[in-house]
Amino acid sequence: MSDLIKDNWFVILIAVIIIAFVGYFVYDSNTGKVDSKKADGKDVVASLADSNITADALFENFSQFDGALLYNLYRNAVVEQSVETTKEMEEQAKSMEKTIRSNVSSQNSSTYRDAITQELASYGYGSYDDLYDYALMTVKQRSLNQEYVDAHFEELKDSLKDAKPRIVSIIKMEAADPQNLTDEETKKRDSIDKAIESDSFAQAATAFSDDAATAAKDGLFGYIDSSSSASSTGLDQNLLAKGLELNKGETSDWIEVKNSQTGVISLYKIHVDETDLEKIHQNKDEDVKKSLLFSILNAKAGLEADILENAAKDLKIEFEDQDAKEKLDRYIEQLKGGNA
Amino acid sequence: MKKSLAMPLMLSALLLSGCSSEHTTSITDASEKVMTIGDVSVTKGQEYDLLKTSNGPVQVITMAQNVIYDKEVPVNEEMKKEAEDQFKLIAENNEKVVDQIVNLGYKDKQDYIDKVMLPGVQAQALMKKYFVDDAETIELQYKPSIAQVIQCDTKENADQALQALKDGKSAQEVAEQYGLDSSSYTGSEELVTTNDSALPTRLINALNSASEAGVMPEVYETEDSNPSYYVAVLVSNDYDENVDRIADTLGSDSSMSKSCLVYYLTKYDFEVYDQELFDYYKQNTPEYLVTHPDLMETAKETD
Repeated sequence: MSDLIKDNWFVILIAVIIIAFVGYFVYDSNTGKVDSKKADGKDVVASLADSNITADALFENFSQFDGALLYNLYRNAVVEQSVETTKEMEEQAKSMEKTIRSNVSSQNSSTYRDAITQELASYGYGSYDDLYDYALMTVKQRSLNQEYVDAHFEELKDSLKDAKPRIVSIIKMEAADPQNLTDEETKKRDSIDKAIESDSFAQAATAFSDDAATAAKDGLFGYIDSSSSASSTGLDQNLLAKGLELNKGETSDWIEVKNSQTGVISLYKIHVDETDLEKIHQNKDEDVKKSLLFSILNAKAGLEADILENAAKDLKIEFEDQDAKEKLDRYIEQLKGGNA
Repeated sequence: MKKSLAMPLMLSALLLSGCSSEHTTSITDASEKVMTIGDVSVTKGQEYDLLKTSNGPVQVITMAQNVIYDKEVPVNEEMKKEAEDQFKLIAENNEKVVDQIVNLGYKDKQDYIDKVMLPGVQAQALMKKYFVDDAETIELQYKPSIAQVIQCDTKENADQALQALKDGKSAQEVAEQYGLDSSSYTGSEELVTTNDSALPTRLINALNSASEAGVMPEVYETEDSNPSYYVAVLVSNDYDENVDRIADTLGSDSSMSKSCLVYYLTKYDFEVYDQELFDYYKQNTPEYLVTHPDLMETAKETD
């Protein structure tokens, strides 16, 4: 025996190294892996005491409340097949995906990623890798909604008739202490007032406004109506209220606005550019279009579901599971009743 | 040479075959179609996978809790009546409750009572039982005792308060004379636990370990730059005698619900057999993976 070891010591050493290496690899790759279990031929998800929670039982529990998921799967399929993907849509979807991924990265937490994954699954997308597909679907659905609203605007515009719809513009003037303006600040304020009076609000905004984003668009802030809120628009509550109070062509006095994040107080003026719904609808600004569409969809309960059903007419739809059809119908009814 | 290496290579191959692939669960009729929209079909299997990802972690724990309820606090007539009464109370304040629960997916009122109200009543009963079943851990962690505590703003006042208590004056009388007006510790009888973060730890420990009821022998001082001074009368530190009061007070503590769940998951060897769910729990609530003590320890460290 010892002769055998002496003669083959190198081979034995190599063999021991191989087995040790493979053994460690097997141990490491099995760490954190679950065993599989079956009960009466069914996959077991979890067990405790003498009870098994099977995949079938879990699904039965789930499926009682799956109306929202069925609707989302139906929506995804209808949108996917009803709207042709354009290059522009792909760009928008990529940008949306990038924003969400960047938020996930900045959180630096797999818990946050898990939360996004769960959210995506509830929208009908199986994994975090499907984020782009979800983003593209939302862009395509917005296009579907826009097309429908444009085509049916005459009948839909009534839903906003009492909502004080309007397009507003703003001018911002920064001041160290708005209560005690310096000579230079007073001069600037007077120049703005004079420019509004002699030229136009748009020209004054372009020339003087300290808000770069709106100044670049002749002061245009966007669409608001009585359903708008500070959180949905990003416009201060006092400015919003004043914007809804004014008539077309009117401009507010200077209003002090405190930035909720920095605490810095600035002076603002708000101007109503347009209140005619037809003209608002014809406005080409993308933000105005998006906000108006959002308001119309919100003002009429179930409109989005109606638009989907309209698009679905062109597709062959078959329900192999009648329970699923009933649950989907019930969910759509809830959407139309505004309760879902 | 080649022959000699054949054996270890075969052994390695055998070992490698022991590498398990990730096991995720599936339902029996996974390939059955639910609906077909144009050229897109949705199967039950797809639906199961999506529901498992979005709601699985919560739903599996809910189902495990139902197993625990049936083992520990099975439904009785009294519980059924309590659940019915709770539903009646909701219905009195909301005429549309039945329509709403049907819209949510419940079959009817009884389905809602069975799936929501009754488990709620069982959960309350289980929490009470937990205070008996896991008494040792709870007593060790919360050090509960019933006591009359008085907060004073100076050492001098506290010394005088202690003397007055020793002389037989009631705690309320002493609190009125020497206590801090703005304090919530005014000599009333109350449950003292480690949750009372304002109290000196030494006082909580002393009350819990005292061998007999009565005036605590010293003034207890907080260890901060602006100390407060406390004197106390121990009423009782008998856990068994006070268990109902302890359960009523601590039962609403949010961390207690999790401790209770983990205790019974451990008692009944809760085990997960789906890799996706296991990974989720491992990341988010490792304390539920009770058969993996190494992971549970991680959870305790990060708590």
